[in-house]
Amino acid sequence: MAIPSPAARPLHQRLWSFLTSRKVTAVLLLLILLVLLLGLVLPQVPHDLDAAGQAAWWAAAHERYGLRLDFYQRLSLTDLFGSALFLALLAALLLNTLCCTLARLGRLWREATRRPVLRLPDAAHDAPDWQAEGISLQAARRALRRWGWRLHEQIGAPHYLYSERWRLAPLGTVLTHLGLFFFVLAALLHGVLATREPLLAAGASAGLVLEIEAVYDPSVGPFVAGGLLLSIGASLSLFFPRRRLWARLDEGRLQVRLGMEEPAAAEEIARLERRLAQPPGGSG
Amino acid sequence: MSAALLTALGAVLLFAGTGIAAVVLLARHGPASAPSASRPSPTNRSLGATSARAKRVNANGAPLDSRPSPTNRSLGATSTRAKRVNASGVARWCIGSGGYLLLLALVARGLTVRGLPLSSAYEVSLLTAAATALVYALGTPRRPAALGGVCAGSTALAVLVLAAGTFPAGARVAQPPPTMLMGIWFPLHVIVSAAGYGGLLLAGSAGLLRLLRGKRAKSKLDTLIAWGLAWGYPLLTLGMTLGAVWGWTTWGRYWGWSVKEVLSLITWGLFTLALHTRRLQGWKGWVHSAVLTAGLAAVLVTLLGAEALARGLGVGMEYVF
Repeated sequence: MAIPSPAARPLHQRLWSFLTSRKVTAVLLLLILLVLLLGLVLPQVPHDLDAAGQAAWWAAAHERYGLRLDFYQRLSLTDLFGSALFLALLAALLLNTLCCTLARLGRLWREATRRPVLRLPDAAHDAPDWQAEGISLQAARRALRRWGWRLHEQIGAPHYLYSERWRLAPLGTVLTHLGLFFFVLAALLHGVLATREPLLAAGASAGLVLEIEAVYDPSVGPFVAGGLLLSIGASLSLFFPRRRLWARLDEGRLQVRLGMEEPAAAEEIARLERRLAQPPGGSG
Repeated sequence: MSAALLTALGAVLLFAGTGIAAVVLLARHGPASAPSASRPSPTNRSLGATSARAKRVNANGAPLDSRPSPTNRSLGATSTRAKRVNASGVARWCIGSGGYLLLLALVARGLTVRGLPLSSAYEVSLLTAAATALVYALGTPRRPAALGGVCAGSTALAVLVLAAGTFPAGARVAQPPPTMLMGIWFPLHVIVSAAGYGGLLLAGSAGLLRLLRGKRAKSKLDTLIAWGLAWGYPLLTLGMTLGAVWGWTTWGRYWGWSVKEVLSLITWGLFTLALHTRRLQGWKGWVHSAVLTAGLAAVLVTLLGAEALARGLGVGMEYVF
C-alpha cells in the first residue's frame, strides 16, 4: 500500500504530527533560549520591588542606558519574562510536551509490558553482533545471570536464550515529560497568578520597620513535583535504558544479538566477555 | 597539609592524566597503528551490525581471526595493546586522584573555617572540577579511556585555571558561610548541582571535540556524551529543584530571574535541547555538537562568569553560586 504524502493527509492528522514533532520541540526550545539570552543581556524590570524601589530602578536604568532604555521599552523588551510572547512560547512547549507524551504513551506501555519475542530468526543469529567458541550452556547462563539479566530459554539444539534488563525503563521517558510538563505549567501559573504584597509594616515611628510580605504562588507544588519527576524519569531513561539480548548456542558456539542503546552495548559486551573468559567456578 | 597545596597537587595530577591520555590518543592514531583506527569500536556492535563486525574467540578469549579486537585488549593478548591500556589506566588513575585531592582541599578549607566550604564561587568551582574528574574516573565505561581522559582532564583543569584567574586572591580565601547559606537546602543544592555540572562538562567537552574532529571517533565521543548527559542532566535538574526549595525557604520565592538563575536555566535548556537533537534526523550531526559546545560555554559562564556578567550589566546578585 502506498504511503500518502504529508500534504495528502487530513488536516487533523497533519496538525497532530506537527504537535507531536520533536523538531517543533527543538525549535520551541531554541526560541525560549533566545528569549532567555535577550532577557539576560537587556535590562529587566525587577518585579519583587515596591513602587518606590521600581521608580529608583527606572531612574538608575535611565542613567545607565539613556535613550536605549526608551527603545527597549517601546519594543516591550524590558519585561521579557513576563511578556505575552514568553508565556505563549511556554504554553506552546506545554502543549507540545503533552501531545508528545500522549502520542508515545501507548507505544511505550506496550513495549514495556508485551511478551518478549524469545527467538529471533536464524538469519539474524547468522550475523551476530558478537560470538564466542567453546561456551557451555551453564557458562552462558552464569554469565548472564551474574549481571542481573532475566533469562528465558527455548530448550533444544540449537538452544535459544532471551534475556532482558530494566523492562519498565522505557516508561522513564513518560515521567521525564510529565516532569517537564509540570515545570512549564508552574512557570505559566506563576506568570499569570502569582502575587506578592507587603502585608504589615509596624514600628516605623520607633525607627524600626518590620515588613511582612504575603506571597501567593500556586505553582510551587507543580514546580517541585516537576523537578522530582523529571529527575527520576531522566535517570531511568538515560542510566537504565531497556536492554535485550538474544543468543543462540549451537555446539559450543554462542552467537549474540543485542537490542540496546549503543553506549550500554559496549559495557554489556565487555562484561559478558570478562565473565565468559573466567574459568568455571571462578567468582567475580 | 594546606588547602592550596592540595589544590596544586590535584591540578598537577589532572595535568599529568590529561597529558598521558593525549599521548595515548596521538599514538593510537599515528601511522604505526593505522590498522587499529579501522577496527570496529565496541559501540558499533548494535542490532544493525553486519557479520563482518562479529569477532570470533575461543573459550579462553584467544582470537580465531587475525583482526585485533577489544577482547584481545581486555585479556592482555598483545603486549603493545596491554601497554596502551595500562597507559590509559594510569591517565584515569591520575585524573581520579586529582579529583579526590580537590575534594580533600575543600575538606581542608572546611576545617579552617569550621563550616561547609561552599560559601564562594571559587569553592564551587573546585567542587565542579573534582566532580568532572570523578564522573570520568568512576562513572564512565573503561572504553574510550584515553578520549575521555583528554575531555574530562582538560575541562577540569580549565575550570581550575579559569577559577584561579577569574577570582581575585581575596575571593579565594576560605570564609565561614553567611547565615543565608546555612540550613540543609543550600548545601544539597550546591553539591548536587556541581555533580551535575561535572557530567555536563564532560558531555560538553566531548561535543566540542566532536565538532572539531568531524566524523573521526564519532561513536566513542557519542558514548562519552551519552554518559556525561546521563550523569549531568538528572543531577542538574535535581540541583535546580533543590535550589528552588532553598530560594523558597530563604526569600519566599522559588524563582527570581536573577542573572545566575537565568544562566542556569539557559544551561539546562541547552542540554535539554541536546537530548532532543541527538536522535533527530538532520540535527544529530554538527547541530548536536554545536548545542553541546554552547552548553559547555554556558556551564563555564554560569560557574565563573555570572558575577562579572551581573556587574557588567549593572544588576545586583543575591548569590553567586
